[in-house]
Amino acid sequence: MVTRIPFQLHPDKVSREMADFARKLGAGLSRLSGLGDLETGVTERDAVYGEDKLVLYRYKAAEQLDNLPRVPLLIVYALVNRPYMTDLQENRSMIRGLLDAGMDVYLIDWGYPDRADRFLTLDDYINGYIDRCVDAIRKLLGREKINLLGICQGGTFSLCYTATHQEKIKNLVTMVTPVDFRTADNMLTKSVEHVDIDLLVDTLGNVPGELLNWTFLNLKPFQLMGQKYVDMVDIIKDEKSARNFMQMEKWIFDSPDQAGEAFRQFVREFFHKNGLIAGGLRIGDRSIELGEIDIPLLNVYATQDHLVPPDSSRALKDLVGSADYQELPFDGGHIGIYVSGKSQKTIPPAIGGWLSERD
Amino acid sequence: MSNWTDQWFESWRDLLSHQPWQSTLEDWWRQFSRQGDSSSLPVFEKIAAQSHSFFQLGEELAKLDPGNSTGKDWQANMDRMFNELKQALDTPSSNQARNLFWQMPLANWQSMVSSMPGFSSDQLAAVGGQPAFDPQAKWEQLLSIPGLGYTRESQAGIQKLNRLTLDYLKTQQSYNNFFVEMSKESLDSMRERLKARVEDGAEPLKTVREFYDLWVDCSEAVYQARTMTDEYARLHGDRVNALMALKQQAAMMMDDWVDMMNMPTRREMDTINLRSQAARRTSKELEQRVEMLKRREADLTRQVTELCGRIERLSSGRSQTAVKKAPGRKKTSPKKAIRKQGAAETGKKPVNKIKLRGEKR
Repeated sequence: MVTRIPFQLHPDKVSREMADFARKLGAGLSRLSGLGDLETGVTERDAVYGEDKLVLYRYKAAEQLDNLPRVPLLIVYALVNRPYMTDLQENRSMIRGLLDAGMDVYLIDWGYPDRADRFLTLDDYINGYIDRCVDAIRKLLGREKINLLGICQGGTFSLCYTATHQEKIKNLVTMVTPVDFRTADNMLTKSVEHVDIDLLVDTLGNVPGELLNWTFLNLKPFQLMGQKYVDMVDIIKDEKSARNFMQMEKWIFDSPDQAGEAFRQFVREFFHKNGLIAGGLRIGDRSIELGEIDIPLLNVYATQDHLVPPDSSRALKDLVGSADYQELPFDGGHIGIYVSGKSQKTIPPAIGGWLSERD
Repeated sequence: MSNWTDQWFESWRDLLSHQPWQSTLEDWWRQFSRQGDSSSLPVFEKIAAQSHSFFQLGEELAKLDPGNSTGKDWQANMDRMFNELKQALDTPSSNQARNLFWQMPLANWQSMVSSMPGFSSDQLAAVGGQPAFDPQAKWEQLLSIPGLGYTRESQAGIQKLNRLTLDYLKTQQSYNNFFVEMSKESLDSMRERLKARVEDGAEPLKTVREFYDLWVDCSEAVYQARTMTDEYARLHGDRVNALMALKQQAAMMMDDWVDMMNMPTRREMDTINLRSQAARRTSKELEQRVEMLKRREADLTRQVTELCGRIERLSSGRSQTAVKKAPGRKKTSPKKAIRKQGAAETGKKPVNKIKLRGEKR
């Protein structure tokens, strides 16, 4: 009878494996060090409006697909991390996909807040910045209404905005958007459950991007801060793959500080009070009732999202008043939904198709 | 950067025969740090740190491989291996097990704390990096900080700072203890997974990499489960709150020192920024009102122009008609004429006011 054993690691084989790992690591690091500058954002664009640190961009399509006037689509990204994730590389660009689907695409770049922006509130962001960007596009094109696409925290903002400015919005798309902040699997909510947010903001002023990075990476620390770098030696086989790796790495750690007051309100109203579900949420002097939203709404979520659990996004279905509500699940994670090859082929065309049917 | 990859391979060739791999990596890393492109160093540091863990795991496994054991010995060997690692976790002075893996989230916390304003990161790292908590030693360490100023308030401030430092260290210690328990649980999970593989008839793990990946899976699973508990949420919250209280006190004292030097303080800057933001909000509201008024003015101007045109047309038409009319008939004013004409066109009773487009009544 052969006795089975759980692992069989002979020293000579381990030595060879280690030597092989070291060889690949050395070669990989050599490739990384020779990459030079990493460009972010690949699609040509024009700045069409700006105030403070915010810039509103209009993206140029590679070719005009037809001469039909499209309802413009404004992308509202989260305040955390940078929006170039939606336009990371030639073959990994959600914006390029939307342009190819015939959309007229605009995006708000929030910039990097500093201490002078510490007292920006959610009211300033939602009823101020977003509203003025919407108005700028409406004025530019002479249109009454535009389409809105909110991503992650930007999706939550877009819901609040649409609930109170629906006369300016024709269709709403939310992507990986947290709605119910207190689902059983929400690690982010758990991690801030006992954090005294007033003390934190009063102490730090703006909330350092480094703190947010640490929080996000600590949701899966062994994979995201450990295994990833061991895997890297097998991934960066050539300059292209090395560049892909470093561009993603750059994005992950390119985390702007958060304006203190807006951060305080967001944590208190959404994470602590779960305002969209519990009710009673107010942004500035406006009461937010998702039931007021009755325009067509497409809710895109990722089934393996560890940051925004699918149930958190799906909660929207029972809250809005839209008769035309649809969901689009994506079999992947929170980041993969922007950059994976699979998402490039499915998500932008699906959004484009859904909007075109309603334009 | 000249020939650092050659040096890398050379050092490996020299040292592969007698290990340890991790010290090879450290030697190479020191060499590279002096020559490499400084902008790439952070990511290289991360890679080097994880490679270090990977190599260390390889070394440990090479020593503890049960593959050569016979019969049921592998189970005893494996149990011994895991028990040694668990014991090492309980020994504060031993970095063997801690450095393998579980130190990473704690080290990252320290690194992140260093990036925050409000208190010298080096000071915090110095007091926070001690493996065990010793109140007396900490008090002595903190009281050795030279006093600043000679008023009672400033002395009280320092005392408070010391007290808050101790509070933070206590929470940090509780957090570390939680992590040690979590690490032991990961080891137990790993041991069970390995046993389950045998029972399921799975092929033995034959590479360090397979072992490493299984280790990551086990650690992550335990971490996910434990960090969703109320106990963890409380520990984490307490630690963050204690750190913030400490930093707030430090920042207030810093502000006092800055004020003593007749320089602008953070409090003053916050006041200015707060007022500036309020003024900016008002300014934006006013801009929007001005825009709205401009639109109204344009509407009004257009309507007045239209009216003037119609008056002119009516006037010229009337003067032509007047010639044909009998003398002595009462003259109608141009305004009345407009109202009458409007009423004739719409069939409604004439009104005296011009209603502006978009204006609420």
